[in-house]
Amino acid sequence: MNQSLLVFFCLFISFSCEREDNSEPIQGCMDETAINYDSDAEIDDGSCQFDDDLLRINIDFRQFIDNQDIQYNNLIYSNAAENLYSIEKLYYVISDLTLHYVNAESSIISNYLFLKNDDPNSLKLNNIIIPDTCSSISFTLGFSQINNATDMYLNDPNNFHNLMLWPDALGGGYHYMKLEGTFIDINEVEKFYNTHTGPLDGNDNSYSYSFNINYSQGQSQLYIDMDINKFFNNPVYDHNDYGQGIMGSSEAQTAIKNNLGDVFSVTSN
Amino acid sequence: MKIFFVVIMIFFFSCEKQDDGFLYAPCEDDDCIIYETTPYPTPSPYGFPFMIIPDDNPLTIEGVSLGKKLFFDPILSSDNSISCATCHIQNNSFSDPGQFSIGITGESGFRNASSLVNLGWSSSFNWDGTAENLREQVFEPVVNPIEMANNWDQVEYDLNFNSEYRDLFKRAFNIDYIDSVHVAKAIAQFERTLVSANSRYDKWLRGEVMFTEEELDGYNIFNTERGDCFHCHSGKNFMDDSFHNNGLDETFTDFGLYNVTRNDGDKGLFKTPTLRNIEYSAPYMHDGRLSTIDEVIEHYNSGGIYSATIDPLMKYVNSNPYGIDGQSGLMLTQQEKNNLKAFLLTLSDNDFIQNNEFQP
Repeated sequence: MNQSLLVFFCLFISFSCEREDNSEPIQGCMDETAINYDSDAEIDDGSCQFDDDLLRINIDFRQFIDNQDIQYNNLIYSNAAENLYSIEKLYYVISDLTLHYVNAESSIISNYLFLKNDDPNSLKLNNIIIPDTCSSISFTLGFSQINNATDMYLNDPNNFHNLMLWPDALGGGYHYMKLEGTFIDINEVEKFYNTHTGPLDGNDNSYSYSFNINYSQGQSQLYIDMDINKFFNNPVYDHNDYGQGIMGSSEAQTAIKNNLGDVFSVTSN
Repeated sequence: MKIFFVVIMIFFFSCEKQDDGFLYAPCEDDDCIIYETTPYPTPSPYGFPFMIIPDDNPLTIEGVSLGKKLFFDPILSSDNSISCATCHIQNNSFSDPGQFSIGITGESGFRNASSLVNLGWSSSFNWDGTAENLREQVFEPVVNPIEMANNWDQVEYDLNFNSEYRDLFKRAFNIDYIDSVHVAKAIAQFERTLVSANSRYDKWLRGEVMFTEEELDGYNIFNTERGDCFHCHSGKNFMDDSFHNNGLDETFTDFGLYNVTRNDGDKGLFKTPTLRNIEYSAPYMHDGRLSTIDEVIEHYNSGGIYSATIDPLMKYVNSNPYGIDGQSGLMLTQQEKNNLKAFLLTLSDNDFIQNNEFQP
């Protein structure tokens, strides 16, 4: 009898005091679109099951220079003005991302996305449920004027306000893009450039795109690709002409805007 | 039967091991006194974003008051000689006017004690970002051997030994044993109330005063690429909650953010400090190397010094291979520098440094 009690107490001791500290995180499916989504799950255990009847796509935002992956912090690129240049930072905003479907309906996937080269998670949208096969996609680089005002995104996540605000002294609202790096200037001196675009003096310098999608059922991947050199090629944009910082230059903002038509392309597979 | 008794005794004491010898009597269900706490109004100054307040540590009158008492109490240091307020002095916008703070051993630190202002809108703390939230930040100076040099077991013992603190923690958090987490929670609550939003700049934003011509030009220098201060000192609190190498050194003795991330690209990066109350919070930079606002302005006007991780925003850096001595930097005139300083002085909030609510 005493031995049984002893065993019981030993077991009790073993488990009673440490239960809280050693409690394992709850594992389960964390994808809200899955049929077995577990709202209590803290770790995704890969068990998600999806309704096969639902169509889904992933969207990746990729960045290239002349169709090559970007090597950041490497002074190896050349634009149409023959500026040798590098890229250190690339932050940009895609707004009004909308998918249009064969059934003539459409859905806004996101009011805006804050895309950052130093945050890979910001460059992907996964498992978007769509009602029908996509026929086209549309989006805006930056914000249209109606969606760009001082403090409009003051409380948004990812520190967006502090990182992307466009000061009132320059018209207010938010940057469209921060592209930063170095270039070799006309005197063969390496200098920094800050190609920051936005609504200078209240002008709408955003650019809207629409692409037809050659996308058939069974495909699930869209790529929205940006080619950095296209910002500078047509008309030719020379860093020597526009200076190292261009936020206050309407000529530079206009020159970049005039280049935007072919900056993006969309592919699927 | 003796063995059985021993096992029972082991069980009885094993759960209490964390108390390190201090005996306390957790109340049983029927005996527990549960205190009601009084919500402390969430600071929401004009034009500011919502303050970030953790769900598990809402502001309460009792919690804030307790946090203030702890902030000013040297009981947190191992020899009861210094408190948080020793290095974070209200007249200096809760910073230290000395370049480095002196710990209990007389040894000095190697970074300037940061100003404590509007912390409820930050998401990283310390010059190198070692703390992700206020509660976490509180833990470090208490045990740092060149600061308070204490250990949390001792702090918990001392506080639990103090009947006033036992009562105050019970009233603030309904706990019967004071632990480090609740000490940090209380101090974090108090620190969230250290809000500065009534400077001349704030009054100007609210339309209550007019800027002088000099202040207005300084505002424009600050917020355009004439001065390009706004990219890092952005938003309502004049800091972007991010990290930069602002061109102080060619090589580093203090690696800053790298110490946390071990990413080579983070060497020499430090968190952007707020500029609110800059007039009161000298000296400046992470190591307090600059004594005056004029020196700070001159640093940026000169363009700074090149190093491998310098921020591209320091685009007029004044050293090879990126600049030419005397021909780089912002090239502001003396009048422009004066105007920029005039604007920076509009960020002084006299009400903040004289606020009785922040005093013991």
